[in-house]
Amino acid sequence: MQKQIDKLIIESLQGDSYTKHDEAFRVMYQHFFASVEAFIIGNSGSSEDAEDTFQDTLIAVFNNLRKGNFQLQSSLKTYVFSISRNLWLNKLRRQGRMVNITREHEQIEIPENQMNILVEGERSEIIANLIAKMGEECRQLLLYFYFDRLRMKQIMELMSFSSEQVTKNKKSQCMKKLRAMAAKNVVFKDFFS
Amino acid sequence: MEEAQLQKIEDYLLGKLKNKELNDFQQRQADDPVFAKAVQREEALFKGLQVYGNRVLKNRIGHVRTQMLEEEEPKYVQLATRRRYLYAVAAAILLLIGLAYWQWYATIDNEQVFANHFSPVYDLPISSRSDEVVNKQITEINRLYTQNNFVELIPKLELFQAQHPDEQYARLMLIIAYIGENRLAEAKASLRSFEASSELHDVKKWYEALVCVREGNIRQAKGILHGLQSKPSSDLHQRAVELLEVID
Repeated sequence: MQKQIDKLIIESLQGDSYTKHDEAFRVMYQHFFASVEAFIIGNSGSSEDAEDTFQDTLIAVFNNLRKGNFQLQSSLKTYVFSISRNLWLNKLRRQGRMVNITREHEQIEIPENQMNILVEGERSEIIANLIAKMGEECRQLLLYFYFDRLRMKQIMELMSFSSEQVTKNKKSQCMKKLRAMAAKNVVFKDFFS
Repeated sequence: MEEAQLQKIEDYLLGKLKNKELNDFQQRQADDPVFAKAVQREEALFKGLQVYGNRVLKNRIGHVRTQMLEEEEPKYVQLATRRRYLYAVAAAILLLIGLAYWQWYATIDNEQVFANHFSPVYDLPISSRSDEVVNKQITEINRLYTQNNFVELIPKLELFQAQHPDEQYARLMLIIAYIGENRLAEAKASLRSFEASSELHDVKKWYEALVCVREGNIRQAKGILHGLQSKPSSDLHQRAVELLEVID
């Protein structure tokens, strides 16, 4: 039963439908959140910390599952719990609040490259803020292509462009605009000149 | 830089280059510093796009969670009918505890304190966009907000939020409107999933404290307000001091 649920969640998150992603997040809350919340509250955290950490976990799981070469080596519950645990321990470490950690759940080692996707360097933060200032069309198009990794044809249909070539040109224009915005930013002045 | 080269760099960053193509690309990176710098620039944009995507995704997940919490409420009603005797006993105990609690804080009229200190004073203009339809929407939202017309404002903001999940000011406006309309469960759920920027962090804390006051959770309100009080540089410092004087 659990294997079927795992399969369903993974397929939904690897697919391109936002509705199915949201359904998968909902199922993950229903099946996995309680153990994460219990762990965090049992280790110096609050319910709010648990909510926040679990949201970051879902983002990490989403991104990792959508990488072409991802292989799940355990049950999804163990994987989710292990990411949450690592995120929470990292947070405690950053705040200088190390405690004796309880070990009540099965857990696995998570490779570093599956954790660092949530680290926001200063440059990435600035670029993200610049994207937020772009027009609606560019923001959505860049998000579809570079984050959701949708194909041009799908983007064309979703955004009602007349052809794939028009979509491709539009994407190039948006990236050009983003480069120009970055070049004007003092942090990137030399980098983009 | 030529479009073809940019395309090649994009393919590399998207992991599309394999075998010889990948080797050639990496060799060029090592041999040609200008090309290597161009790769770095594009990589910086890629990472920024990832961070932006994560923010939007976090908002979407927060929205899913808020809906789930809202849906949980009717279950309690169902449960209460099934176990009414048990709940009657529990309610009686709670009533006694509540009375004791009320006696303790007898001098504080929470709703009055809330009314005296709640005001959507923060000027939170949502920045205009290039899209004319969106701009019209923003003008209407700003107008209703300045008129404190929360009843009409809330559905408009909920729609706007779904379309523009990264717009922090709109998110905060919605929270304030929920609080103003005494829709505290929604306000709390939104506050919980609201990743405030450093600029809005203290404002978020202030409204969290006001929700606690309105709920009668004075102990928690004090905790939050003491945090704001300890930051004299904060715009909310004076307000926190004044509210603490009333409830402390």
